[in-house]
Amino acid sequence: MVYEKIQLLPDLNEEVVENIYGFRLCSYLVALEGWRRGLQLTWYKDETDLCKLDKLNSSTQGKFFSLSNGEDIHYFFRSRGDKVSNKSVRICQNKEKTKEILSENGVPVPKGRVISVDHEEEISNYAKGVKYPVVIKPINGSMGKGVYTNIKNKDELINVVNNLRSEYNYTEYIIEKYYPGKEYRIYVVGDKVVGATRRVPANIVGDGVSTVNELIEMKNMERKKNPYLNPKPIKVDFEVSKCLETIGYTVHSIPQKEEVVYLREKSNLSSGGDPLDATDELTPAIKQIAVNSLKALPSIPHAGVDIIVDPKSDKKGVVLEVNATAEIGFHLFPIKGEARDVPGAIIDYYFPETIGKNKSIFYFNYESTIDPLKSWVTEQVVMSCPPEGLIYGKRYIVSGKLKNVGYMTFIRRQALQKKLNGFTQKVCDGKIEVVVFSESEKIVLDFENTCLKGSKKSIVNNLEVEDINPIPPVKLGFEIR
Amino acid sequence: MQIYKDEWLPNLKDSVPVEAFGYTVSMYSIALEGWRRGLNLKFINKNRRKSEIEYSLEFNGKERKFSVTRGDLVPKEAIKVCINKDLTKKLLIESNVPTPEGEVFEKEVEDNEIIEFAKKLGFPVVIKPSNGTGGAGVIANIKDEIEFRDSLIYVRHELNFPKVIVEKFYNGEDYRLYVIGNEVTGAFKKIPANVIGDGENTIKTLIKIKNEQRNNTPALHKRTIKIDKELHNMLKSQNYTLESTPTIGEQVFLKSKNNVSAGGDSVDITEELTDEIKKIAIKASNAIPGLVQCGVDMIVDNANNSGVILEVNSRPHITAHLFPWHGQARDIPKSIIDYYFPETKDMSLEQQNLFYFDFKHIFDTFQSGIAKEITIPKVPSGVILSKIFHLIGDLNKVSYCKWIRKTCRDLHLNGSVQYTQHGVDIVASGSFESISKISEILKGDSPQNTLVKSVEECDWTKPVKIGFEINEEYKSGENVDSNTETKIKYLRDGYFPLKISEKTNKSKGNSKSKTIKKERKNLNEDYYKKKYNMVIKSTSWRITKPLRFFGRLIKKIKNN
Repeated sequence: MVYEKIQLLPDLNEEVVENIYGFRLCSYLVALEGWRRGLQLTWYKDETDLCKLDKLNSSTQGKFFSLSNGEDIHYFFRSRGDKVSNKSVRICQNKEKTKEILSENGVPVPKGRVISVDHEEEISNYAKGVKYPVVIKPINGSMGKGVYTNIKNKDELINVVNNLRSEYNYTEYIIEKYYPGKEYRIYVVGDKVVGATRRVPANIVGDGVSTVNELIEMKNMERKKNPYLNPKPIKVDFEVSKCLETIGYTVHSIPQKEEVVYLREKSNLSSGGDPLDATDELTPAIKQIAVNSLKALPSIPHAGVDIIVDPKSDKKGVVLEVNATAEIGFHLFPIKGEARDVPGAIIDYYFPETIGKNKSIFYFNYESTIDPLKSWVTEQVVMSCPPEGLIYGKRYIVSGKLKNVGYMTFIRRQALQKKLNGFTQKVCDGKIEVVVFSESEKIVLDFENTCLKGSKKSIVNNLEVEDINPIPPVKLGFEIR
Repeated sequence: MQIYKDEWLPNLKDSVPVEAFGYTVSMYSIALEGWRRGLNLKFINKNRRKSEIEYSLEFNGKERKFSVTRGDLVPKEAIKVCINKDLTKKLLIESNVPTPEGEVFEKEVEDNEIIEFAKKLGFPVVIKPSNGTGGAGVIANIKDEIEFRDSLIYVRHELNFPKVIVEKFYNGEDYRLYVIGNEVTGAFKKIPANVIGDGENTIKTLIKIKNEQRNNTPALHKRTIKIDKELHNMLKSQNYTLESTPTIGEQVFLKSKNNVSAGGDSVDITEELTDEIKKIAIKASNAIPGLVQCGVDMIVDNANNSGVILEVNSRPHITAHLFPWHGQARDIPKSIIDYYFPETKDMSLEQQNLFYFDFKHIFDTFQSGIAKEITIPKVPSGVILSKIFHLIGDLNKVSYCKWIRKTCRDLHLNGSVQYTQHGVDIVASGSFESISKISEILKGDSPQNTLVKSVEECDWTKPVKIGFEINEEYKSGENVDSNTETKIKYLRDGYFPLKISEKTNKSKGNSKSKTIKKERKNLNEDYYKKKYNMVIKSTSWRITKPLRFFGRLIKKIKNN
């Protein structure tokens, strides 16, 4: 499958999220949305006395922050805000407990049981009871680690159990009935579905010339271009070779043109799966199941719900799990379909008075904000508010004697003093590009003189001026690129 | 490289990060003193400029805001008085504080009128701009009308300070006294830029040596003696050139102005002050309502034990008190924090003095406008132990250091990792339990892909920067330390060209870093080409092409 160019949100392009991955991306997306709406954003080194969100035994730097409108303050850990109770977070970490509560509240879940991996006999008996195929997964695992789906018979099951015992440290596993069908991650805020992603297991599409290995490599190159999938390439491992084996392929086989070759059973994006936006293809009935799942749990107004939709009826499905601290990056950067504004919906929910408010086009350097928190040299960092109102932008292309005369340093210093935002960089033929943005048109226009003047030793021969319109997302501050 | 004189404050030794050198030392040292006493410290970004960062200190619910050295107990009215020299003079006279007779002249006033005034006042006189700083445009000891006329034209019309003050010139020494809470807590004498001969080196070399020493003084960083027209004239009048060699102990003055920023020296004279002089300074601060802390500029006539007040500053820098060129450093930060937080006055800071905080990140994020407020973690309390671990082995330094940082963070240890030639040095500071734990971890099984050959554990006695940073920049281990020792020794004995030994050290590293730079440059060029192509090929660029074309056309038409 060749990735198509997808429609991103105009103020959230690849540049805005460059080099931010994983849970940091979730945190940044929600924080940025609030900040752009004029809320005060504070990053914390660690949890504060005021708010103790369950941080899942993970690091907090750059993932723990608060947003405030002056009256109300809300704390967030990654994409999860403080309206999600710690109690629910803990329930969701235990997949069996989640299923139990959902089931009690009439939400369809797969039949299953928790069994220790040491009780081989019990496992196979239970599998026989619910009828093959079955799924086996650790009770508190994540990212698809230790999950085996579509196990078709006892031999396969015993094989998997042995493998689990030697490879992982999990002690308790859920064994449940395998439901075939398309798998969706549905993000719910309040009683609305704001984004749904279909997850397709890692796959490649043949071109009749390239080998499986080459096709994987090509696909990984494509994945690298997607901000969310960038650090999640398809890796050829035991599972992949096994998967190829079942269809009689090796990594050196050459699939036919247009032939889709699946490389894994499970659809986790972290192991190479494809996220396809599917918000518009879900039926209201399925959406309702997702909403009901959250209603069944104690105070969890927003979360991601995993649902398998029955291939025979698009109105039926089973809920596999609820993710209280769900990743949201793939809703904004799918490989097919439309970007869905999940962070916008989250902020709408916490700060309804900011709905429809003019949003700043600015963004900030996440990495340098987080750096002092990572090395613990600061306790907390309160961000400046982004410039408001109409933004003006100009691009100046300067040529002349500009090499080794401190021209760019001079420009940066001047720009920072005048509170201009933008960047300067070398372009071809020894020319230097200076791009500036400000809410004051005068300062932007006057900067032409600064560019002309240059540093002490520089000689400016020529200067081209261009308007920048519409204004793209602008990074706060001024940098030499 | 930091060089410390014996008379400098031990609690500032190795505790001022290089990013806070220069005037920033004033602010940093006060914030540091408060922070070490356990106050909550927060920096506030009012302006993107380094020297104007504000900060707040909070203790048990009491918050005090500071701007450089001035706390919020000084009312706005007092600040306004200090800025207006005319008003200052008026209040001083009202309180019977001696100050030179004189007057301020607005820019509308004719030169002749001012000349008449000077004649009436009687020579010698001083002309100074009413809003100048750092001694710019100040002409002292003007002896007659002709000289006065030239000086007046120069200051008003050439230097473009139309509003001037003309006052009586007093002969004496130029003192700066620091007053807080009716007490003089420090005073220094300003003397013009000078060098002292050693019988061997030329004036030019002596200036070079002195400038290197000045650059290595936290407070004088980048405030060197500049070789300019004035300096040449000054030497000429003494029958010297830059190539002359003064005899041993001979002091050659290079400038006429006393200002430290013009290359002048500061000499601590706190002990020598008479009660009368102190009283004048305190009286001056009391003359301005609410001015509980200030720096007082005074011309002191030691023979008669009297002085006149030139100026009162509500927000003086204290760098020269902290790092005087000669004499004992004075702990002004202590007196300021004592005044603002008397409840913390008698705290023992023996352990806290071994911590300081980072300034680089604060300045960077403030300057780029990203952050509005930054809170510094609290100073460590309880019994603290500091150790250095010299690790030798085959390590993947990047991942190993990250692992160390995470481990230390989990143990609530402050410190740093430093790359060395054969491994890394780890400085860790924390509770006894945490230190023994990290020692155990470092000496135990190392993580995958690393082979630690030896771990040497020693006590660490220098101050530790709060947080845990990874320093990738190479430091060639113990050699550096011994070098510093010899340098300091030489410094105490006399003068020694500091940079020379450093340069030879550097040159080794340079060849390496040069090739890296070259590689990077190549990479960069490719990158820019790519970037440029990207821009050229981008749809927005192509779409706006006609716009740009017409823009240029219109400009051409306009120009024609």
